[in-house]
Amino acid sequence: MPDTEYVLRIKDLRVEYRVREGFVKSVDDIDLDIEKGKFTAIIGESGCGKSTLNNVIMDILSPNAVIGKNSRVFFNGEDLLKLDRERLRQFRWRKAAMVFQAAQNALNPLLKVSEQFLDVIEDHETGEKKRESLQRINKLLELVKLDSRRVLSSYPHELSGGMRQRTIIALALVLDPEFLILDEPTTALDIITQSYIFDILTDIHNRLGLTMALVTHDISAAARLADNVVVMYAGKIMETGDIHSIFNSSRHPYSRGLLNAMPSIEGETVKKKPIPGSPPDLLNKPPGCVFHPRCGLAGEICAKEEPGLEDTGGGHKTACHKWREALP
Amino acid sequence: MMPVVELRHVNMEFQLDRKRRFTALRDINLEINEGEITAIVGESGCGKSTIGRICLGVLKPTMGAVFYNGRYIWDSGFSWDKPTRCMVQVVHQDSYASLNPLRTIYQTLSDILRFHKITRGDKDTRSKVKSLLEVVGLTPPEYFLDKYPFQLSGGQRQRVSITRATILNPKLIIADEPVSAVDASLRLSILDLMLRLNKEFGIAFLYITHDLATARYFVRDGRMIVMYFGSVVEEGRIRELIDNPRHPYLHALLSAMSTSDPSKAKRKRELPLKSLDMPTVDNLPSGCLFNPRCPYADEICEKEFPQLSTIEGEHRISCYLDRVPRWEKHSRN
Repeated sequence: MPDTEYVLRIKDLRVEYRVREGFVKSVDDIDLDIEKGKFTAIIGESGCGKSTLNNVIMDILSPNAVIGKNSRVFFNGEDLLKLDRERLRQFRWRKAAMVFQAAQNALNPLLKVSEQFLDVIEDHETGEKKRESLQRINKLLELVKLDSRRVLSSYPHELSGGMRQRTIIALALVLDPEFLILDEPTTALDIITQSYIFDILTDIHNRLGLTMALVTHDISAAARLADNVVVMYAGKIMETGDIHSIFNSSRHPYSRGLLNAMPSIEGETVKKKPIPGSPPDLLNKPPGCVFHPRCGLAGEICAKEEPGLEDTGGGHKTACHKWREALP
Repeated sequence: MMPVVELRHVNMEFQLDRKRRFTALRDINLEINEGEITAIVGESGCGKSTIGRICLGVLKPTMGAVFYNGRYIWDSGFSWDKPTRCMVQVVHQDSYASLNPLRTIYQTLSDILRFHKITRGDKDTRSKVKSLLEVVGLTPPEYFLDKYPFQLSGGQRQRVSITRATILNPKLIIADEPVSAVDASLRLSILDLMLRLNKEFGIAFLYITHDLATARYFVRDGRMIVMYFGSVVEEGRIRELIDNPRHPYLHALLSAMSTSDPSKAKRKRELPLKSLDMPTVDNLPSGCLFNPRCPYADEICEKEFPQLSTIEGEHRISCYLDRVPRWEKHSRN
């Protein structure tokens, strides 16, 4: 069996935001590998650091962010944190592209959709003729099941939310990137539209064999799309592994709690429970395991020592001192 | 017993510009009884929030009547008095936007107590606010009193919003997507808090949401109303509706729901829909509004608007249903 190939390898990544009260530790010494050709979901609640992680990869962090000295982010072996402006410009969109939330006005309201596509191609000096570009754009719009004649001549406000989101997906693919990051691609969309976009994303992943990463708080979106899962909490990785392994036999009390806090249209409602307490203050994180103040299994060691990611079998890794007790 | 709030044949139209009018609600009939939890579900633009605003008494319907405890509000002889205004309160979706960012939690909550002369003097007010915060689980209250909204988490801010809605002992709280902006691990704790207020103080809730799963959790044995483009397409007990949906639109909604079981979630699914696009305001279909998307529609659906009619007990749908196959649970699994 050939060795697993990784598109992205993150080592000791630490990102802090400088604020008046001190430093907010948003991403706290994490290691993460993204497997080539796989669909990886990064799951977590607000403030867990998932968006910061995104922004590090695309180098779009806000100016008050400080990246740790020992942090390394390798994309196909090249350290992204060392790229100069020009190389970075070549990297973005061509090597890795990002799909933003449609609700966040990722499209320019003053330009027709066709101009936004052509702008990207022109700006990246591909040397492609306009006619060829348009042909390719048509194909991409077909891939996301849009009527290209209608969409290309429209302004963003003339499209529905679902159509805008599909346009943004096609736009991200326009320079044929190797890696696609999806940042909450279905938040604020209706469930029928969501379901349709999930189908399109699965289709793109299968057809193009693209490496994709989904950053989301929505567990059911991950269940539907992802091969691998990374669960984050308060800037730390709690658990990583294959989706079936994490969702069916999670070893971490946080992931289990999160899964058990999801209401469903099936099963008994009384068995569902929220996780007690609130997420920690990132300015003053608890010592030891960041989750211990909310954890039912926490013991003495949890408040003292920070657990590292431990292999619990089958490529499943968990950062918990008590993972053996958490087994069902 | 008199319903707390009742809507009868309510229609709501909005003037879009000089020529165009948009019908947001068509012939809505709704009774909310004391202590009852009712859910209104539907996609964006279906009119669910408009119903909420009409129940709250901030929007006057174009046609139809709204009753508070049997009193016809909006009648020419009617004027708002404090007790009537206090009967229905609201919790909004965005707790950040609905709390004044420049005022502390204490300032926000104590204003109401002073305005309605519920407490006398600072000491009394402060101890009352403290006990209110304790009721909603913001403990220790001293820690939260002088905080500003930005210093609290989303879940904590939503608890403050709920406190504000309960201070005046309302009969009904309109909860318009109260948990969709709250973190997943805390959603249930907010719903649990509202369930407790329902049990302990008998407050009725109108839960407006697009999420069938949280509706099922929160409503328990109550009723659910499914809206599509301004009309009620199906209503009844929530359990009956989710286990035995009859309208093709509810079939589609349930098929689109994701689950957290990866093997089920990944199975290929065909939504029972002809088209994904909602009709537009300028181009409404004739007959049943759902017919262009309905896989079972035929001639009659394009001609006539189906009336809401009872199929069994409280279960009512608006559909010429003989053609619609029975829902089979495994069809979504």
